[in-house]
Amino acid sequence: MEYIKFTDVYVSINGNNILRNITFSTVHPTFLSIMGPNGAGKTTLLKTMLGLLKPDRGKVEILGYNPVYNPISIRRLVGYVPQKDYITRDLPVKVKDVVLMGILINKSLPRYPSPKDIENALEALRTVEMEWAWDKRFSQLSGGEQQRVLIARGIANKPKILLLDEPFNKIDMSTQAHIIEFLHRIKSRNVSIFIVTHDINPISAISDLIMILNKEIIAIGKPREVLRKEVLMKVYGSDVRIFDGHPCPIVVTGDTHV
Amino acid sequence: MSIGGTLAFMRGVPYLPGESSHAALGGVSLAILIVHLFSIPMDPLIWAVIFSALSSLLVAYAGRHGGAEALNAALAGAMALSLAVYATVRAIVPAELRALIDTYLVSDILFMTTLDIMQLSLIVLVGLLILVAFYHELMYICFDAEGAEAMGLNVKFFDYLLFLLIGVAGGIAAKTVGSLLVFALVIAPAATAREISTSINRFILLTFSLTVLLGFTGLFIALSIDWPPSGAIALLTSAVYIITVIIKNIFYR
Repeated sequence: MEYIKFTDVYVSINGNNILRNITFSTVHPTFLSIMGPNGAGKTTLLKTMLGLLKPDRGKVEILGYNPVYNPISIRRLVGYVPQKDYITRDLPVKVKDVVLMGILINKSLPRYPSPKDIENALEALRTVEMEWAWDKRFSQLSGGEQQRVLIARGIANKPKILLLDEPFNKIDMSTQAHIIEFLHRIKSRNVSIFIVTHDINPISAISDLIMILNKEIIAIGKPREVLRKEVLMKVYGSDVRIFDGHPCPIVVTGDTHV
Repeated sequence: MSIGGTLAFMRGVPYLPGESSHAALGGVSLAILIVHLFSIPMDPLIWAVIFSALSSLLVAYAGRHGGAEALNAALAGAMALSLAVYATVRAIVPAELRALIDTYLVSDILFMTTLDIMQLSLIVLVGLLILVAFYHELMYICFDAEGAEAMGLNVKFFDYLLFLLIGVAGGIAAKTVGSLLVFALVIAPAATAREISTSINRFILLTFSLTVLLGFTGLFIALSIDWPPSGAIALLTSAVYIITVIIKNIFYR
């Protein structure tokens, strides 16, 4: 059975300990949502999975590969959707350029897209219902449409794992619902999804597992096991309210993403 | 040079070619001071390119370690230092060397020698080869450095390479039109192209075409009415940029 496993992982950045004693294991495919306040180490966890950060100690296994020692394999296995705020949006790049980026970068020179590359890019855009934007300028799209294109880029290489960093940031609720539907579709193709978020409510219902992170794992388990006041108070203090909802509780925290 | 302007816009540092061309001025001044004091033969053009490239790399280093604020501070600092060197050396050296230094402040494209053209052609060729080879990497890191890193790109290396290419372009521009007019010849065509481009490829091609077209047109006008060529080219590129922005704002808002 394939799995994603962290064993006693500690990660530091510039001497500051960001993650400690991270131990968990999930079967593949899974939908894992990672929630925590600012500075909890959520993005650091994703970067550790990508092999961009080397743990001070502990072991990471992604479908049998150690990200630090098998970066090429990890690149083929893992797709990544960064925070939209980090994208330079006023460059005159077209949607097709953005989606093909993820494919061409792994090819050798002169990196011309083959018909198969173009078909893969189009298929990725079809998955997020953005095929119509193929020849459009990226900066002309709405925030939600840009996010969908970035997800298409993340899956263009047909990864087995898709990592998303705050994909719902500054996205309206209707677009959030669309993105959730697309993620559900992607998972059904045997792709594990790890999603970092401040707002768990939109995705708690489709998450197999939810992790509450605050430098260490506060809780990990099924949504109804984790989304409880006594668990969330460990991270957010008394500034958390839980409302009964179906199929999952609704969480309101004072934490906002800036 | 036109590619340098395009890359500078893509990377979000449109002032960099101007700064690096002023660093070239400092490099040339130092080379000429050494010639004057020690009679050691030195080629000012090579020193111009070396200094503009080094200052650009310094700005890149500051940006990578201190963010946008440090990058802007390094831009201003490198420019101030170069101009200080230029002003000091200019006051020390005799008139004929002073005149040579000043050709890097306001140059005339018609004064370039065959050797200058050969040296510049070689540098441009190497720059173009690097650009063609790493086009996708450079575009990727300009668009999304974090995503590029996640895809396994050595973002640090390519970022420095990008700054190096922009710096070299600034050095070449200092020789061909002079530091004062770099904004007009390197930045203005790129700024114009950016206003009307819908893709990166078109942006690059349009910048190149505008630079060549406006360069030759400016030269033709200058020769026809006996104007200094660099000034005529600068006026033309600036006018085309302003007209483009006005037309775009009136008709395509």
